[in-house]
Amino acid sequence: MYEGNTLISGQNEVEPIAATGILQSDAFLSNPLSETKPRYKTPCVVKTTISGDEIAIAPPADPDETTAPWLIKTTGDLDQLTNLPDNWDSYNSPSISSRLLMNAKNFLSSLEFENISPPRVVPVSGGGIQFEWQYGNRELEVEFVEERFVGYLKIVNDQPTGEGQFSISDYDSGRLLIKWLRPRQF
Amino acid sequence: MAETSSILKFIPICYSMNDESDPYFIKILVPKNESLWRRIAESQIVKLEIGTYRPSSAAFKGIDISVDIASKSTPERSIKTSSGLAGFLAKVPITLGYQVIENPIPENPAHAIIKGKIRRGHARTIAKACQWVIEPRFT
Repeated sequence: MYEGNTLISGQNEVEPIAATGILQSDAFLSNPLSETKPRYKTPCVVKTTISGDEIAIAPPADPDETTAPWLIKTTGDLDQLTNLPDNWDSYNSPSISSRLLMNAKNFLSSLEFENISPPRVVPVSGGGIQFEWQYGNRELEVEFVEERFVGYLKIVNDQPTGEGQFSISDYDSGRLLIKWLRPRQF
Repeated sequence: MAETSSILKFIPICYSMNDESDPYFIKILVPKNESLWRRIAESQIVKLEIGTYRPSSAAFKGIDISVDIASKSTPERSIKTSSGLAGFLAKVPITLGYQVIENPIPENPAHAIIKGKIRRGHARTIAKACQWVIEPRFT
């Protein structure tokens, strides 16, 4: 059984004999046991079974090709916040904790399949993270300031209309907020 | 004589405006018509579609947030190394229910605090009420 490129269990456990190669499937199939090494079109790991067969294993798909573009961008913006030093706002705010960053990333991951644009990513004074979305006359701010909770603020026509918080593990509440933000697509 | 000495002992020789536990602590409230300034970090400045900028509400969150009293400072002194300096009237947080208290410190005699934990909606309201005293400078 393979996990990605790694053979983790099974009867044919062997050490890989080559690190990379280019897969050319017809050449491989026509000469599966050829003494000459087959050429491979795509990068892969070539492994040999106990019986001597060569197996070309395609690497895992590039995660950037399967992850929503807005999530890629927002995750990149979040990673930028790790560069903020202590006192980054001149009011003694600490650098953003790794725990809050993780909470924010997990929240975003729960929204991966939602049709939304990337939010603004803003550090919060006192040491926190805030996402800001706007669609038409509706705005949503989601903050990660406390380690166990997610805070939010709803804004309509520039006026705050409701705020609250929910547990960081309550991903349904996060999706409901997005549904409120973009009601027409649901 | 005895009566005078008993009165004198109630006149503080010095007082504190920073330590509420100090028995001589005196709280001086900033009046509504005073202007307050707050430094805004570049990462907390939001670009609007019309090409202008506003501070994010994130810059006004926290507990006992610091501001400068405009009449006791200058923009150049208050901004320090921040990107922008935003100003708003003390009336804004006072109307929302907060006290604005003078809190001079040795390195900043203009220092004051908006007392209490700023609610999310209020942080947004304060941010929206701001005008730039010094426009943002971006690196």
